Amino acid sequence: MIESYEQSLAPPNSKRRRSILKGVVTGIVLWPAKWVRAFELSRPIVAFQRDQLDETLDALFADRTILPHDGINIIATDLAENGAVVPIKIEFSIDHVASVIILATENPIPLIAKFDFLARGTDFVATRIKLASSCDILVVVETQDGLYSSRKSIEVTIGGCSV
Amino acid sequence: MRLQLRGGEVTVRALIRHPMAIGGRLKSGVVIAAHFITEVTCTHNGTVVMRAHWGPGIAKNPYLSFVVGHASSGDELIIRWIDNIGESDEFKTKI
Repeated sequence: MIESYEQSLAPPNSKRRRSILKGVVTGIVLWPAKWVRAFELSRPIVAFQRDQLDETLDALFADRTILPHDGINIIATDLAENGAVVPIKIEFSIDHVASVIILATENPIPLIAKFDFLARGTDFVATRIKLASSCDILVVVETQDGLYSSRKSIEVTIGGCSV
Repeated sequence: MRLQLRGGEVTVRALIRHPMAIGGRLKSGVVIAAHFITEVTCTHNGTVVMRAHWGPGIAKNPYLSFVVGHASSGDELIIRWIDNIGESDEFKTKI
């Protein structure tokens, strides 16, 4: 490999200094972008530690208003015999959905999951959740315009709170 | 992981084998440690398109389904998960 003229003339010490300088400059340039990304996409740690629904919502959204929306359709059974496995599908006819948050009002940890969509495309998300007892499923959809929610009550025969 | 391409978008259906244990004490007194997936990401041609943060409220052997837009045949799709004790896995497929 042929070294560049400047590099071959410089003593080894100066080469090392330059590489350190390069690293520091790159770090400074990249740092804000990395920080913003981490801030936007980090896990809602505090919300996962809350055991009351209102405290969870407070930890997630502070005092932002959540409006009920007809465009969110929660597809799940009305009567779940086994609370350990409750299939749930959330369809939404809302544009630019950034996040979908699933909460169960009576679970020991009300926050079940938060799905962040970083590219447009999906109009639904489906999974299977645990329900401790009969409760309401609360789904909050976050867009750039605001927060929208929908509720569905589910009756649970045997709670899914096994260890 | 199963994929279904239709009209430029792909429907992803994934099934992950995982205990998703809440953790706690059994009646017999045996303590079971919490063991659940905390994060699932879906990467489409190198870009993260979906990132999910889960708690122990997701059922055992989790199922996950959603749509990835702007997809075409030959694209690479990766689903990765990581759990609360640092275990992780990934599924890589071509559409």
